[in-house]
Amino acid sequence: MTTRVGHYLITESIGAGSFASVHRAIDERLDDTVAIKILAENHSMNPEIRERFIAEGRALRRVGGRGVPAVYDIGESDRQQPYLVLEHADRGSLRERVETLRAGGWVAQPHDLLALARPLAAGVAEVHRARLVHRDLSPGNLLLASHAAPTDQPSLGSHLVRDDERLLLADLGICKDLAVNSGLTVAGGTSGFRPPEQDAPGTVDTRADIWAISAVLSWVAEGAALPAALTRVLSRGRSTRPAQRQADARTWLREVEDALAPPEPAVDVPQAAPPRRRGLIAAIAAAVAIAAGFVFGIWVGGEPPTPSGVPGASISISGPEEISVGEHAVFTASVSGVESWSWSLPNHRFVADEAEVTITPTSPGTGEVVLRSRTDDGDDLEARRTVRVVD
Amino acid sequence: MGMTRTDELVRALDAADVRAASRTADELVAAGAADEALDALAERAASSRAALELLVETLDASGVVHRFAGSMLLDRDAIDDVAQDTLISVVQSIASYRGGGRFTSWVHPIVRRRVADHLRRQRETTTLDEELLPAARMSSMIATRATVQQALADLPELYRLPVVLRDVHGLTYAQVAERTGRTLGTVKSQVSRGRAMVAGMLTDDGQPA
Repeated sequence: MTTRVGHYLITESIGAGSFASVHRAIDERLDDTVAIKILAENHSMNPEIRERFIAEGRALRRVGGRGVPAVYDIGESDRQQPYLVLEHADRGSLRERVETLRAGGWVAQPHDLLALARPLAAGVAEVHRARLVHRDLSPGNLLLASHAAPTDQPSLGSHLVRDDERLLLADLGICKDLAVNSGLTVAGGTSGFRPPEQDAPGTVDTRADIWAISAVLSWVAEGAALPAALTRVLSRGRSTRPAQRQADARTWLREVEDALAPPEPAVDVPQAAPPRRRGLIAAIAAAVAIAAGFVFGIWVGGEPPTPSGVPGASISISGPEEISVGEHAVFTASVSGVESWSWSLPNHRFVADEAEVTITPTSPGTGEVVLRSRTDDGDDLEARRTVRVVD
Repeated sequence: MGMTRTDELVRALDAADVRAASRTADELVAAGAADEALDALAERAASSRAALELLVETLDASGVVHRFAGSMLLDRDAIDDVAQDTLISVVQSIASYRGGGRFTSWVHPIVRRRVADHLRRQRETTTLDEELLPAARMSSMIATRATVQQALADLPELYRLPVVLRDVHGLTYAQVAERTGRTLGTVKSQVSRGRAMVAGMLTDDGQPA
């Protein structure tokens, strides 16, 4: 049986909750596949639930980044059911992906965790920037969609979130929130991925989502041999007290990246400065490929900057401010009072303890080279250098 | 700034200077301080017909009722209908307004109830139920009751003509617009406000208040 809602031809039911159901549908005017989320008929008579449902559509639209499904339209069926017309996530959910991979004996590797953590943190940051808390981040609500166009982000080669896929944070838990407040269900969120403060009525802030993404990453990492540092980061993210968690998605990702660093070198080879330290081969080429809207560009911000120096220790970077595409650029670390440091390059690679790094940008834009260190006293140091890449 | 204008509004109401009160209320709405104007008007609306009429005008002009309705409904006509029903309900229950909080917080649940009525009516589509909705009820009351004549006569000039053309002569909104040389939107709003003002002059069973 086929059903039509507006000019959308419903082809298949792809999910049902207590408030709304989601269907795959064809937009007959634009000849494209979309997802239609429609409020249940009985709830459509309830002004309060309608208000929440409509608010979810408006909120998604307000978030509007690459990390949430695009909202194409909002309408009402002839049974007065409001519905949202959304981008269709054609690659299923993270839960399905992990279950399929596990059936084949897969266990998460560090690059898989990075491939998930980066878009996850970026999406959460987008939601938080719109002054919203998602409240229901779980593997079933994290969807995968094929890219309309490949991005110039460096390849991680993960099967978890593939290079040609986007991760979408679906289902802002606004309706579920209402369920909690009205006593219609026990608690908002999905069991196992719900922070403790959502078990009872009370204040829930953005750090609830930090708890949830830590739980999601832990779930994906089940069975993997994790670096102890990552286990610590994820435990911190799931602290019972929100104040003990990472303050925001940016901090969370930085800690995850640091715990997993450095990932396997991907493809690049070209070389630059001769080996300087401990006889290691320092052949580092990195592409300054900053995709518009990538995580580092959209931090929520507001943290006090980390100093580049404290009494007795300092770090700094010297190197060009502007380079051309294809040109090798060398950045040199000047350090004093610290034994060890790490570089964070614009392609999100990490390099430890090298005196110099060389990057070779592949596209114009702006990138940032970051040098981090920690003193014996435990003070974090950070130096940043912004590089403009011109054609 | 908002406070001094609100004081002006209160002074004008106390002095029964309708024109000054109306101008000040308009200024408050334009300055984004509709809430202050509404609170001041609502406090006096139960005992002053001028304040009640100005409350109807200001509440409608502030757009807040449409905004509330628009958070629950998507169809433009449905939003207009609910807004009109709400204006009448507000007038009819103004005696139970106790002040204290924001007037708009008092209005919000009224909008919600009118939305629920509207949705129910849409689903049942019986004319009988339609009669029970505030706007429909006022419309037929204006058309049929002799006691309403005095209320109509007391209606401000601006609203009397469109209400009479619409409800007594049974013209469509488009015809009323043509007849009065006003835009369709203006006429709809004036009929809506006018019906609410008539409602304010009558008791629930259609007798002069």
